[in-house]
Amino acid sequence: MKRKSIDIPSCDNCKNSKDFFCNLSEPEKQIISEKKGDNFYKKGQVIFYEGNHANGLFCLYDGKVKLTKLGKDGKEQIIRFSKDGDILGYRSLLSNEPYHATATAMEDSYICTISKEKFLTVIEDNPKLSFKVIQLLSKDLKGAEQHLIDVAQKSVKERIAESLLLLQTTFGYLADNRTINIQMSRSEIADMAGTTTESTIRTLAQLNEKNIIELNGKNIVINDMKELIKCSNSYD
Amino acid sequence: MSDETNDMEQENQKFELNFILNSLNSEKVELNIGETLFKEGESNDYVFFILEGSIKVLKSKWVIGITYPLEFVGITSCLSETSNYTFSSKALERSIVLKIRKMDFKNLLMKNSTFCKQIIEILCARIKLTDFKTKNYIENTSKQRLLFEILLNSKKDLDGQYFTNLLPEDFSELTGLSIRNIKKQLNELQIKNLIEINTTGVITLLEKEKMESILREKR
Repeated sequence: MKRKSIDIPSCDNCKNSKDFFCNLSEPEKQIISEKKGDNFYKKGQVIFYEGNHANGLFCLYDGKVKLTKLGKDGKEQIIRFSKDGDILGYRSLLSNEPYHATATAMEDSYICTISKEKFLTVIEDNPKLSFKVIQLLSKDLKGAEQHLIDVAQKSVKERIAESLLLLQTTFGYLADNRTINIQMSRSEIADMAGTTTESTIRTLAQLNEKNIIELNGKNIVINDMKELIKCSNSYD
Repeated sequence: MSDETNDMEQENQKFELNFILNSLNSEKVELNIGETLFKEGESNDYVFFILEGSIKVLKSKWVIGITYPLEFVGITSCLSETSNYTFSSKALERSIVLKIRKMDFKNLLMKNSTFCKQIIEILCARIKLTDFKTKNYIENTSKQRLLFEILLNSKKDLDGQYFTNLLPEDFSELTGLSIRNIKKQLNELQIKNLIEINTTGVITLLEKEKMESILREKR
C-alpha cells in the first residue's frame, strides 16, 4: 500500500489543541515540529508491528487506530483504541522495549512521527510533560485493569455490552447522536471482548431483538443507553 | 539479564527510591495479615510504598494483583481526577509500608526527574503485566491460569529455590477458579512432581522451566 504525504500543520497550529504536547512552550513545539514526519495510512494499513524495535512516537492527527496483540492461536486481541490527538508507541520508547502491540489504521488516518531521541529529550527537559506522561500511563493502567476484570469476571453478554460502551465513550456518536462513530466488523468486536465471532453475532442479535441496539451493516446504533449499561453490569 | 544482575539492580533502585521517599515527611505503617490499607470509595489522600511484605489489590471481591516491596499502591487513584480510591487493598502477610501524602507525591514528581523516570518505569511494567494477565485469561486453560499465578508470585529463597506463600484461597481470588478446583489442580501438579507443598502450605517450585513450558502450550 502506498503512503502519500499530506499537509499536516506544525505542532503550534495543531487542531488537537488539548493533545499531549499542549503544555509545551511555543519554542519547544517548534523544535518538535521541525523534524516531525507526516504520514498517511490507509484503512487496514499497519503503523507498527508488535515485537518490532521502537524508534519513534506516533501522534494521531486525524483518524482511528486499534492496538492489537497476537494470541498463541494466532487470534488477535484488541487491547486499546486511539483517536485524534492521541499518541502511540510511547510506552515502548519509555521502557526501551519493542512495541508491545500492533497498531493498525481503522480508517484512513493522518499520523505525525517524532524520533525517539527527540521525544525522550523533550520529556527529560520538561517536568510538566513528564507528569503528563505519568498521568497518561496511569490512565492506561486503569483501563488495562478494568479490561482484566471484565475478561475474568463478566459473561460474554456483559463483555460485548461493555465493548459497545467503550466504543461509544472513545469515539462518540455520529451527527444523529445515536450511531457509534466507528465501523467495526463482528470479528473485531469479538477480538475486543475476548470471545468468538459466533458468540458475538448471537449476542448482538439478542441486543438488537430487545431493541437495545440496532445493527445497520457495520454501524451500531444505541437505542437504549440505560439498558445497555445495565447489560454491561457496569456501575462505575 | 542474569537473575543476580537483576537482583542487584532492583536493590539499587529500592535504595534510591527509599532515599527519595524518606526525604518527604512520610510515615511508616505496619500492617498485620488481612489488615486493610484502604477501602474502595475512601478518599485517596495517600500513596503507599511497600517496604516489606505484600499487599493484595482488590476490586469488589476480585484480586487484580499482588504488590511486593519496591512497588506502590494507590498511584492510579492518586493521579486520576477522582478523589476516591477505585479499589481496596489488604496485607497478605505482615507488611510495612511508607504512607506518602498525595500532594507530596505529586510535588516530588514535578520536581525530581529521577523519581519521575522511576515512576514511569514502574507504570510501564505494571501495564505490561496487566495486559499479559488479560491474555492469560483469554487464552489459557484453568490449569495454565493457576500455573501463571504461581510463577508470577513466586520468589527465590537463599538456596535459589523458587517458592510462594500464597494459599489456595489467594489463588482462587486471583484466578476466579473455585478453591476446590485450585486444590485439585495443586494436587495434580504435586503428583507430577512439578511442585511440593509443605505442611504450612508453602509451595516450592520443583520444575520451574517445565511449568513455564506448559504455560506456553496451546489450549
